[in-house]
Amino acid sequence: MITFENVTKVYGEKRAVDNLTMQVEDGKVFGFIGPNGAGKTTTIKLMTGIIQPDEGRVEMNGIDMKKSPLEAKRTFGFVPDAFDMYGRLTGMEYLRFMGDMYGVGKEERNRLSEMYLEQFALKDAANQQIRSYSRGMKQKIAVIGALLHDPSIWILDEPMTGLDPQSMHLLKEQMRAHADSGRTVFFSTHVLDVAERLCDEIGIISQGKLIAKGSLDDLRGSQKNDTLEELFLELVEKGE
Amino acid sequence: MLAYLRVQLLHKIRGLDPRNHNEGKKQSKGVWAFIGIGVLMLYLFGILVFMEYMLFDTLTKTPIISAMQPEYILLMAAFLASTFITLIYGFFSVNSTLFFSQDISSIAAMPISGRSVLTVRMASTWAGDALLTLLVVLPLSIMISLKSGFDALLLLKVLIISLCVPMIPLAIDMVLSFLLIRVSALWKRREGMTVVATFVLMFAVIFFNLKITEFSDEEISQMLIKLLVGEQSILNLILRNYPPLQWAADGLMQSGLAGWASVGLFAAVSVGVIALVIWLFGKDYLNLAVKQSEIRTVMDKGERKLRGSGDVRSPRKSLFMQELRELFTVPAYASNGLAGMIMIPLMIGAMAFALSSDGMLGEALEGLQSILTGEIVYAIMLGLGMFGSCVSVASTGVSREGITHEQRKTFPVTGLDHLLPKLWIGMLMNGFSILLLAVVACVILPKFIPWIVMGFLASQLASFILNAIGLCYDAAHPKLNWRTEQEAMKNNFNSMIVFLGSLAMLGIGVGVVFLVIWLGGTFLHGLLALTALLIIGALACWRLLTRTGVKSYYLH
Ligand SMILES: Nc1ncnc2c1ncn2[C@@H]1O[C@H](COP(=O)(O)OP(=O)(O)OP(=O)(O)O)[C@@H](O)[C@H]1O
Ligand SMILES: [Mg+2]
Repeated sequence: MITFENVTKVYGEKRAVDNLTMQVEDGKVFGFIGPNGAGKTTTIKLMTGIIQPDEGRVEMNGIDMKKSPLEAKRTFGFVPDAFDMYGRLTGMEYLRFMGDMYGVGKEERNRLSEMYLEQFALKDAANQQIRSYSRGMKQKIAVIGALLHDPSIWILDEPMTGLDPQSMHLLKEQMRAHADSGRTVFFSTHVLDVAERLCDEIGIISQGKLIAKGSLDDLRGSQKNDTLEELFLELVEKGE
Repeated sequence: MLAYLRVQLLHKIRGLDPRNHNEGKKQSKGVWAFIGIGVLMLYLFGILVFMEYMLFDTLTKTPIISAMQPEYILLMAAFLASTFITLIYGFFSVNSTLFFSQDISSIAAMPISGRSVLTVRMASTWAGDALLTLLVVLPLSIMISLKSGFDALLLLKVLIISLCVPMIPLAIDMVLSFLLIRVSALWKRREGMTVVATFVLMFAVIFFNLKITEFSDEEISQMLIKLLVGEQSILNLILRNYPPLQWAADGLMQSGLAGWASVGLFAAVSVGVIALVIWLFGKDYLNLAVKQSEIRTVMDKGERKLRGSGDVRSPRKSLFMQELRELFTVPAYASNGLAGMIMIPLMIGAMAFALSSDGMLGEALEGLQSILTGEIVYAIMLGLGMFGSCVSVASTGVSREGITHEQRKTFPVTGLDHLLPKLWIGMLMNGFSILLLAVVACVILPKFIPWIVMGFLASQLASFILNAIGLCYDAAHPKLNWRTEQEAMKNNFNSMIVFLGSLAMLGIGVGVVFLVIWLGGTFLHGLLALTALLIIGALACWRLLTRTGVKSYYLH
């Protein structure tokens, strides 16, 4: 469960996130959409403790991010938006590093990394340095790294970028399964078709403000036949 | 090609402007940083001017020498120093600019020839070295003008020679760098190879440097004379063996057409050599550089590696190992960080080797025994600890995280878990050479062992203070949005500021000892007072690290 209470983050004059209050329940896949520069990445940085809100508070599974950051951070696994990091580690070395950071036991780490590497067809590249990976391969190793400690909340910033159809399918299945086992998935995306089919709940943010939240049916309201794309364009236009 | 040159130089100049290093902050802060760095630069320049003045003064006042045109001798010494410094340090920058810069693949896709790219990269490296040479000879030129009158033609000669002096060493560095990349392509761990080979090369250069220097236990001033003046001097020895500098010297000393012909010869040969090597190597340059950046470093193939790759480590240990691995395998980090670490032992080792091959090691050791006291040994150890030869490691610790910094902040580990490994690495780098020296000292000076051990401990106290301050400074002002590792470490102002801070600390330390002596204490009292101060300082730094340092780590 993720809770935002009156969260505001200001950059200079710009209110990147503006008085955001919302809750994402357990067992749900939550899709976060909005135009470029709307504040999606900023929101994700706030909930992962990368930056601190100027006002308000964030709770992960009821743990206050500000008061007990370490416990709060243990609850989630995070896939950052541009995974262009640790280029000189091999895939395996990166996974070991991530396991160490989250205190994952050796058996567990080996079991899970082998399983995921197999699933994401990354086994052959596991002993290559990450900087030789393609964009999609980097994305995949980041996903595996985030899942190693079997987190209860899974946060992904634009995870679909660069993935091949098989991996995209697999990722969607993983996200679904994660939510179905009673845990939470929070991801931002620009791929509205995916959001439409995958999400139990959708939040739309524009200029730092949450302008709509609910299941697709809630959002549709009276216009029963609109696609998410039509709805999105309408809502964002109205919001401005 | 000109457009590319413009962009390269612009990038270099922007990189020098500290206002570009803390974006998103208030402009006024940037201006302060600018002023601060300006003052520090002036301070360094002032030291240089002072040293040149002292040398100039000594040489012109010594009767035998003043007859031998000391100003030319000094100018030539400056050019000689510039040649050697460019040869040694230029190698690192040439190697990393040519083969480890990240824009290589995008440049390779543009309609620009390999020779042009090589020319531009060499030109931007040369510009920095030429500027440095000019800065060194500027005060000398002024002193000469003051002493013997303004001579525009002479100054023009000096200008031309200054601009040309770095060219031949840079050309040599370039050829070596090409060879190194070609040779290291034969190994799987080629980056490690590059690092190791670089140091071997440096050792060879330093050794060669010392070998031609015939050490003797004469007075210092006589050493100086021997170094610079007369037929038998080192300066002359090198001039005889390295004709281009001889031409430059002739050009300076001879008047009229003959002088100008020599200067012209020197300039033409310098430009010619570098143009020739660029022309020769340029054709294949892009190919080689792209190949270098393209390698897929396959460590070890096979199923075996997928399982049981190591035990679980604590976050601190894991971060420590990750940091250490990076420092040793990334060429830009290794050449900047490790250079400081092994420089002192390397030089002492080379010196001892040169002495022993002349059969003078025993004599030198005896001399050492007779002048040393326990206090002096202690003071030397302590001074080494206060001198931040490796402080660039800790003071770029957070900056080097770069883009990974954000993800690291999401790990469920404490801020101290992030900072302590960086502190340990910094202290390890600093302490390595001191420890090595301490061990050697214990062997050759056994009667001072208690002093050496105490001095080593005190030096670690100083090293802790230095590294903690450097790390906290970097945590407060990290430079995270770099694209090449070179930018993260070498072109990072934090390490320079902290290094200057370490010089200041050394100054304060000396000041404290003198103050105590002035107040009527002994040398030992002074050292004890300094040590007490260091203990207090270390406690304060621990507080700084655990509070301010940790807090600022999460601010960026
Ligand atoms: N470090 C920063 N300094 C100043 N402004 C920032 C900073 N980070 C974000 N912003 C501003 O905050 C706003 C929200 O940015 P954010 O990255 O959250 O957008 P986004 O919704 O993720 O966009 P995209 O879809 O393009 O990824 C933008 O106007 C951006 O300019
Ligand atoms: Mg974004």
